[in-house]
Amino acid sequence: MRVLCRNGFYSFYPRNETDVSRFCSFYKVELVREMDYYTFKNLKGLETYSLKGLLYSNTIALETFEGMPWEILEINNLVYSIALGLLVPKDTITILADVKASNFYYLAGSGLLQSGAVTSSGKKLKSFDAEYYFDIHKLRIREIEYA
Amino acid sequence: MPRILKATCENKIIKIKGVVVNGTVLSSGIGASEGVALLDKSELTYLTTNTTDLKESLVKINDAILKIGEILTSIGAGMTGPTTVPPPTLPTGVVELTNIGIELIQLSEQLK
Repeated sequence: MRVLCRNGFYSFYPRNETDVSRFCSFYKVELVREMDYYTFKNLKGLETYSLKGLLYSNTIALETFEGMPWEILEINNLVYSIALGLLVPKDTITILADVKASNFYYLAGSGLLQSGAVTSSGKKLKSFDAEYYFDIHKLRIREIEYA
Repeated sequence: MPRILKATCENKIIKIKGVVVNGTVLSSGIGASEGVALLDKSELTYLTTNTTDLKESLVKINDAILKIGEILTSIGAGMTGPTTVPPPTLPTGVVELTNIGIELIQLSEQLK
Protein backbone atom coordinates (compact mmCIF):
# COMPACT_ATOMS: atom_id res chain seq x y z
CA MET A 1 0.00 0.00 0.00
CA ARG A 2 1.36 3.38 -0.98
CA VAL A 3 1.66 5.85 1.88
CA LEU A 4 2.05 9.49 0.93
CA CYS A 5 2.79 12.05 3.60
CA ARG A 6 2.65 15.63 2.37
CA ASN A 7 3.63 18.23 4.95
CA GLY A 8 2.14 16.08 7.71
CA PHE A 9 -1.04 15.12 5.86
CA TYR A 10 -1.28 11.35 5.38
CA SER A 11 -2.85 9.67 2.35
CA PHE A 12 -3.09 5.90 1.86
CA TYR A 13 -3.49 4.28 -1.54
CA PRO A 14 -4.45 0.58 -1.15
CA ARG A 15 -3.34 -1.81 -3.85
CA ASN A 16 -5.84 -4.55 -3.06
CA GLU A 17 -9.07 -5.07 -1.17
CA THR A 18 -7.49 -6.08 2.13
CA ASP A 19 -4.83 -3.37 2.55
CA VAL A 20 -6.90 -0.85 4.44
CA SER A 21 -8.59 -3.29 6.82
CA ARG A 22 -5.32 -5.10 7.55
CA PHE A 23 -3.57 -1.80 8.28
CA CYS A 24 -6.39 -0.59 10.52
CA SER A 25 -6.48 -3.91 12.36
CA PHE A 26 -2.72 -3.97 13.00
CA TYR A 27 -2.37 -0.34 14.10
CA LYS A 28 -5.79 -0.03 15.74
CA VAL A 29 -6.61 3.07 13.69
CA GLU A 30 -9.48 4.09 11.48
CA LEU A 31 -8.87 5.08 7.88
CA VAL A 32 -11.65 6.67 5.89
CA ARG A 33 -12.00 7.34 2.19
CA GLU A 34 -11.47 10.86 0.88
CA MET A 35 -11.56 11.41 -2.87
CA ASP A 36 -9.20 8.85 -4.38
CA TYR A 37 -7.30 7.94 -1.20
CA TYR A 38 -7.82 6.92 2.40
CA THR A 39 -6.76 9.00 5.35
CA PHE A 40 -7.09 9.24 9.10
CA LYS A 41 -10.59 10.05 10.33
CA ASN A 42 -9.66 13.49 11.68
CA LEU A 43 -8.03 14.50 8.40
CA LYS A 44 -11.15 13.82 6.36
CA GLY A 45 -13.04 16.89 5.18
CA LEU A 46 -10.43 19.46 6.19
CA GLU A 47 -11.31 22.86 4.79
CA THR A 48 -9.42 24.15 1.81
CA TYR A 49 -8.89 27.48 3.47
CA SER A 50 -7.83 28.75 6.87
CA LEU A 51 -8.58 32.12 8.45
CA LYS A 52 -6.03 33.58 10.85
CA GLY A 53 -7.44 33.52 14.34
CA LEU A 54 -10.24 31.09 13.57
CA LEU A 55 -10.46 27.39 14.31
CA TYR A 56 -9.00 25.07 11.71
CA SER A 57 -9.94 21.52 12.65
CA ASN A 58 -8.89 21.38 16.32
CA THR A 59 -6.48 24.31 16.38
CA ILE A 60 -6.36 28.05 15.75
CA ALA A 61 -5.03 29.00 12.32
CA LEU A 62 -1.97 31.23 12.19
CA GLU A 63 -2.45 32.30 8.60
CA THR A 64 -5.20 33.14 6.13
CA PHE A 65 -4.66 30.84 3.18
CA GLU A 66 -6.48 28.92 0.49
CA GLY A 67 -5.26 25.61 -0.92
CA MET A 68 -5.19 21.84 -0.49
CA PRO A 69 -5.24 20.63 3.12
CA TRP A 70 -1.54 19.75 3.06
CA GLU A 71 -0.75 23.29 1.85
CA ILE A 72 -2.87 24.68 4.68
CA LEU A 73 -0.96 22.51 7.15
CA GLU A 74 2.38 23.71 5.86
CA ILE A 75 1.52 27.41 5.90
CA ASN A 76 0.12 27.06 9.44
CA ASN A 77 3.11 25.06 10.63
CA LEU A 78 0.94 22.07 11.55
CA VAL A 79 1.25 18.30 11.17
CA TYR A 80 -1.05 15.42 11.97
CA SER A 81 0.06 13.64 15.14
CA ILE A 82 -0.40 9.91 14.66
CA ALA A 83 -0.29 9.30 18.40
CA LEU A 84 -2.83 11.99 19.31
CA GLY A 85 -5.00 11.80 16.21
CA LEU A 86 -5.04 15.59 15.99
CA LEU A 87 -3.33 18.48 14.25
CA VAL A 88 -0.45 19.82 16.31
CA PRO A 89 2.23 22.49 15.81
CA LYS A 90 5.14 20.98 13.92
CA ASP A 91 7.59 22.19 16.55
CA THR A 92 5.95 20.08 19.27
CA ILE A 93 7.03 16.85 17.57
CA THR A 94 10.17 15.75 19.37
CA ILE A 95 10.39 12.04 18.62
CA LEU A 96 13.21 10.45 16.67
CA ALA A 97 12.68 9.38 13.06
CA ASP A 98 14.22 5.97 12.54
CA VAL A 99 15.19 6.06 8.87
CA LYS A 100 18.07 4.19 7.32
CA ALA A 101 19.33 4.17 3.77
CA SER A 102 19.11 0.70 2.26
CA ASN A 103 19.75 -0.69 -1.22
CA PHE A 104 17.64 1.53 -3.43
CA TYR A 105 15.32 2.93 -0.81
CA TYR A 106 15.12 4.16 2.76
CA LEU A 107 13.76 1.85 5.40
CA ALA A 108 11.74 3.18 8.30
CA GLY A 109 12.51 1.40 11.53
CA SER A 110 9.04 0.91 12.83
CA GLY A 111 5.54 1.37 11.50
CA LEU A 112 4.52 4.78 10.32
CA LEU A 113 6.80 7.75 10.23
CA GLN A 114 5.68 10.86 12.07
CA SER A 115 6.07 14.03 10.06
CA GLY A 116 8.10 16.51 12.09
CA ALA A 117 10.19 13.78 13.72
CA VAL A 118 13.95 14.36 13.73
CA THR A 119 16.51 11.99 12.28
CA SER A 120 19.74 11.08 14.06
CA SER A 121 21.54 13.62 11.88
CA GLY A 122 19.23 16.37 13.08
CA LYS A 123 17.07 16.70 10.01
CA LYS A 124 13.35 17.28 10.49
CA LEU A 125 11.12 15.00 8.42
CA LYS A 126 8.58 16.90 6.34
CA SER A 127 7.14 14.65 3.65
CA PHE A 128 7.68 11.18 2.25
CA ASP A 129 6.45 8.80 -0.43
CA ALA A 130 6.63 5.15 0.59
CA GLU A 131 5.28 1.63 0.24
CA TYR A 132 3.99 -0.18 3.32
CA TYR A 133 4.91 -3.84 3.41
CA PHE A 134 2.53 -5.98 5.42
CA ASP A 135 4.92 -8.92 5.78
CA ILE A 136 7.44 -6.83 7.74
CA HIS A 137 5.04 -4.07 8.82
CA LYS A 138 7.46 -1.42 7.70
CA LEU A 139 7.75 1.39 5.21
CA ARG A 140 10.15 1.32 2.32
CA ILE A 141 10.57 4.94 1.31
CA ARG A 142 11.21 6.05 -2.22
CA GLU A 143 11.46 9.75 -1.46
CA ILE A 144 11.96 11.87 1.66
CA GLU A 145 11.71 15.60 2.03
CA TYR A 146 13.20 17.38 5.04
CA ALA A 147 12.24 20.76 6.43
CA MET B 1 -9.22 26.75 -6.39
CA PRO B 2 -9.98 30.24 -5.07
CA ARG B 3 -12.68 30.39 -2.40
CA ILE B 4 -15.51 32.91 -2.25
CA LEU B 5 -16.48 33.75 1.31
CA LYS B 6 -19.15 36.01 2.77
CA ALA B 7 -17.57 39.09 4.27
CA THR B 8 -18.28 42.56 5.58
CA CYS B 9 -16.30 45.77 5.34
CA GLU B 10 -16.30 49.11 7.11
CA ASN B 11 -13.59 51.79 7.10
CA LYS B 12 -11.58 49.45 4.85
CA ILE B 13 -11.55 46.77 7.55
CA ILE B 14 -12.61 43.41 6.16
CA LYS B 15 -14.18 40.80 8.40
CA ILE B 16 -14.99 37.18 7.72
CA LYS B 17 -16.93 35.27 10.37
CA GLY B 18 -16.30 38.15 12.74
CA VAL B 19 -12.53 37.99 12.35
CA VAL B 20 -10.49 40.84 10.83
CA VAL B 21 -8.54 39.71 7.78
CA ASN B 22 -5.99 41.52 5.64
CA GLY B 23 -6.89 42.13 2.06
CA THR B 24 -7.59 44.54 -0.77
CA VAL B 25 -10.92 46.37 -0.91
CA LEU B 26 -12.05 46.92 -4.49
CA SER B 27 -14.79 49.40 -3.65
CA SER B 28 -14.28 52.54 -1.53
CA GLY B 29 -14.86 50.43 1.56
CA ILE B 30 -15.66 53.32 3.91
CA GLY B 31 -19.34 52.83 4.67
CA ALA B 32 -20.49 49.56 6.22
CA SER B 33 -21.18 46.97 3.55
CA GLU B 34 -21.75 43.31 2.97
CA GLY B 35 -20.02 41.50 0.18
CA VAL B 36 -17.74 38.65 -0.78
CA ALA B 37 -14.07 38.01 -0.26
CA LEU B 38 -12.14 36.13 -2.89
CA LEU B 39 -9.31 34.12 -1.30
CA ASP B 40 -6.67 32.83 -3.69
CA LYS B 41 -3.72 31.31 -1.81
CA SER B 42 -2.72 34.18 0.52
CA GLU B 43 -4.30 36.95 -1.57
CA LEU B 44 -7.67 38.22 -0.38
CA THR B 45 -9.86 40.70 -2.26
CA TYR B 46 -13.14 42.14 -0.98
CA LEU B 47 -15.98 43.26 -3.22
CA THR B 48 -19.19 44.75 -1.90
CA THR B 49 -22.52 43.42 -3.10
CA ASN B 50 -24.38 46.45 -1.72
CA THR B 51 -25.48 49.09 -4.21
CA THR B 52 -27.96 50.71 -1.81
CA ASP B 53 -25.75 53.76 -1.27
CA LEU B 54 -25.98 54.66 -4.97
CA LYS B 55 -29.71 54.02 -5.01
CA GLU B 56 -30.19 56.06 -1.86
CA SER B 57 -28.24 58.95 -3.41
CA LEU B 58 -30.47 58.97 -6.48
CA VAL B 59 -33.61 58.96 -4.33
CA LYS B 60 -32.29 61.88 -2.27
CA ILE B 61 -31.44 63.85 -5.39
CA ASN B 62 -34.97 63.26 -6.68
CA ASP B 63 -36.38 64.47 -3.35
CA ALA B 64 -34.26 67.63 -3.65
CA ILE B 65 -35.43 68.25 -7.22
CA LEU B 66 -39.10 67.87 -6.25
CA LYS B 67 -38.53 70.26 -3.36
CA ILE B 68 -36.96 72.81 -5.67
CA GLY B 69 -40.01 72.52 -7.96
CA GLU B 70 -42.36 73.06 -5.00
CA ILE B 71 -40.40 76.10 -3.85
CA LEU B 72 -40.37 77.67 -7.30
CA THR B 73 -44.12 77.04 -7.69
CA SER B 74 -44.70 78.61 -4.30
CA ILE B 75 -42.60 81.65 -5.19
CA GLY B 76 -44.47 82.00 -8.46
CA ALA B 77 -47.82 81.81 -6.67
CA GLY B 78 -46.76 84.62 -4.33
CA MET B 79 -45.79 86.95 -7.14
CA THR B 80 -49.21 88.61 -7.35
CA GLY B 81 -48.28 92.24 -6.71
CA PRO B 82 -48.94 95.07 -9.17
CA THR B 83 -45.35 95.00 -10.44
CA THR B 84 -44.42 91.33 -10.09
CA VAL B 85 -45.46 88.36 -12.19
CA PRO B 86 -43.96 84.98 -12.31
CA PRO B 87 -41.85 84.30 -15.40
CA PRO B 88 -43.94 82.66 -18.14
CA THR B 89 -41.50 79.78 -18.33
CA LEU B 90 -41.99 78.84 -14.66
CA PRO B 91 -44.66 76.14 -15.14
CA THR B 92 -42.68 74.55 -17.94
CA GLY B 93 -39.51 74.68 -15.88
CA VAL B 94 -41.19 72.97 -12.94
CA VAL B 95 -42.49 70.21 -15.22
CA GLU B 96 -38.98 69.68 -16.58
CA LEU B 97 -37.63 69.40 -13.04
CA THR B 98 -40.32 66.85 -12.21
CA ASN B 99 -39.46 64.81 -15.32
CA ILE B 100 -35.76 64.76 -14.34
CA GLY B 101 -36.80 63.43 -10.94
CA ILE B 102 -38.87 60.67 -12.55
CA GLU B 103 -35.89 59.65 -14.72
CA LEU B 104 -33.65 59.48 -11.65
CA ILE B 105 -36.12 57.18 -9.87
CA GLN B 106 -36.33 54.96 -12.97
CA LEU B 107 -32.53 54.84 -13.06
CA SER B 108 -32.36 53.88 -9.39
CA GLU B 109 -34.69 50.96 -10.05
CA GLN B 110 -32.59 49.65 -12.92
CA LEU B 111 -29.12 49.77 -11.37
CA LYS B 112 -26.76 47.20 -12.85
